[in-house]
Parts: sequence; C-alpha cells; structure tokens
Amino acid sequence: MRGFSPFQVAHAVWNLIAIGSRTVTVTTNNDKTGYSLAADQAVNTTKWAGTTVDAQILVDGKQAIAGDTRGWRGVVPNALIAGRVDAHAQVVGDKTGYSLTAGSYAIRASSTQRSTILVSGAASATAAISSVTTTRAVLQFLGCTSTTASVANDRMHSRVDLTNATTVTATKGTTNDDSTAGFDLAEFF
Amino acid sequence: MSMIERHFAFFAAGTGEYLREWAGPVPVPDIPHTTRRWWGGRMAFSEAERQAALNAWATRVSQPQPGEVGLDVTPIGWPVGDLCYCRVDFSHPRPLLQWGPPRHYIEVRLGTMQIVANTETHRPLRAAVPGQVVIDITGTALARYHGRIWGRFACCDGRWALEPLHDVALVPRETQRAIADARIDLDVAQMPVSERARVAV
Repeated sequence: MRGFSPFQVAHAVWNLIAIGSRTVTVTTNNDKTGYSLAADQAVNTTKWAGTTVDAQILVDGKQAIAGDTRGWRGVVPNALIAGRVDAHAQVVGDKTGYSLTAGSYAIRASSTQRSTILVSGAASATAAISSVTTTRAVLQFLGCTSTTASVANDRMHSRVDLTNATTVTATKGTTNDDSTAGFDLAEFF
Repeated sequence: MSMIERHFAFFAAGTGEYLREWAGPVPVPDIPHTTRRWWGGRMAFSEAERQAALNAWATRVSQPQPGEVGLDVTPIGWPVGDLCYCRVDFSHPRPLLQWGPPRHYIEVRLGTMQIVANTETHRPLRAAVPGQVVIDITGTALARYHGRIWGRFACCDGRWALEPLHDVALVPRETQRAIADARIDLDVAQMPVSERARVAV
C-alpha cells in the first residue's frame, strides 16, 4: 500500500515553513542559473564517463574550461603541437599491406641473360639458363671462337639452340678442337 | 569453389626491397563484367573499376603483412624464388618492378671438373643439366674475368685452384695468369663430396 510516511511529511514541513514567520526558506536551489563562478575555479575531476581521469579542470573568467591533463587512460599524452592535440591515423596513413595485379604495376619489356658455352672433346655441350617461357623467348647467337687453325667449317663454326625452358645447347660438326659459342637470350613480357 | 594457381612476391613498402614469395591455389576472382548504375541500367565496368576490383581480390587472397606490398607476378612465369634479386621502385606513377644488378655464374661438369659455361643473368641460376653444377661467382675474385673463365678446378694441398685452359684463343695469357693466381673463395660445398675427392691431387 502506497501512502505518505508521517515522518516524510513532517520533514517537508520542517524544511519549507518556519512557523511564526512570513519568510520561506528554500534549502536546495535546483535552478542553477543566473550565477557566476570566480576565475580559476578548480574542479578536481576524478571520474570522467566512468573512467578515472588524472586531470584538473579550470574554469577561467572567460567562461572557458581549461584542462590540465596529466594522464589519459594511464598514459601521459604528448605535448600539444601548434596548440592542438597530436593525433595519429596509424594504419590509414601507412598505405601498406595491399597487393597489386599485373595491370597495376610496370615491368621491363624484356629480361636478358647472356652466356658462353665451351664445346670441348665432344660435338655439343649444354648449359643451364634461368627458366624462360620458350614461346616468348628469343635466342640470339653471338658468334663462336675456335682454337683450331683449320679452315674446315665443321671445326670452326657452331650453333646454339634453346633446348627447353632451362637449357641451351651448343653444337659443332666435330669432336675435334675446342670452341666457345656465345648467345643472348631475351624473354619478352 | 574454383581455384587458380597464382604466384605472389612481396616487397618492403618503404624501400622496395624483396621480402618473400609464395605460390599456390587461390579462389578464382569473381569480378562481374557489368555493374548496376543509379539510374537502373547496367553498364560495363570501366577498366579502372575492374583493376581496382582485381587488386582488392589480390589483397584478399595474398594476405600481405603490414609494411608489405604484394605483386601478383604469375604472368611473368618465373619459378618461386627467382625474384629474390628484384626490387620495386615506388617513385614511379605505377610501381616499377626492377630486375636488379646482373649476377655471374660458372657451370662445372663434375666428371672432369671442367668449366662448361659462363653465364650472366639477374636471376638465380639452377643446375639443369645432369652431372653439372652451377656456382655463383658474383662478388668473388673470379667475377671480373667472367666470360673468359675456362679451365678445370683442382684441389692441391687442401686448397682449391683453377687451372686455366692454356689456349690463348679462348683465354688470353694475362687472364690465364690472373685466374691461376686468383684466390678461389668459392663455396665448394655445393659440389658432391665424392667429386671433390676425385679431383684431389
């Protein structure tokens, strides 16, 4: 059952009416308007939005609030930069951690490797190359050097072939004498 | 879900230095050819929109780490690891993949320890011929004679030496002396132990 407690009623009367006088005394002012604060009135804030803040807020004569903050979330903040709080965007400003597909980056038009093969004591010799896609690779013969004084073509001359994606073979017509064959191998993109 | 094989290489965003590579199956990019516009009609994707969608897909499937920039290098067609000497120049309007400086290799036939090839490339060179090994001489005393290094390796008194081919047509006399005197600081550990024993004098 709801009702007035006799003690509450008595208390209200005691607060509001001074018996035997015309004066009404209001002990609590709920309006909170029409008043001024003295300059440099310090308010020691111990709680801010539920978080303990090590700060002191000053209200100056210009009705501005100045915060002397000694710690935010337990960390001393950096000094102000040009009167402003230093704020970092972190990852947003880094521009990393992304990948690009072929159309978004550039590469050289071709990749070149150069080699010389020695054909010695055999009719041919094979050398390794960095792997290429044979359909877009071009092998260019750069000539040969022979140790023989003979003018026989099979001793003097040699040829080179792109055997597969990883080897090139130099061949001459005889097993006699030594010769070297040079080549350029370009892969186009 | 359809999968596709892709090859990604990662470079440092600040310096463009090579970091790592991997290749493997990833989900096929699902990039529509048309997009709905605000007036209700369908229009084809612009090239820029399509490229942006492909880049978003590449980022999603390659998972670059913070500080990395990944490139889908599948169209280049090189094996994984072959971009290790490359770098990316980010000062260009489009990042430019640079090959890097040339490296020098010699190839040795193990049966005779004779040099069969001098090769210059900006990529790793792997052995591809049975019975032959490839030695990287970049930065060694031999590198400056690259292209004229012919002869055979021999081990004397526990020290490797290169006996130059005594043929002035292939190796000039000055080069022969220089090669013979050059201190061989090659990584001979690349050669099988049995072969090293065979050529020991």
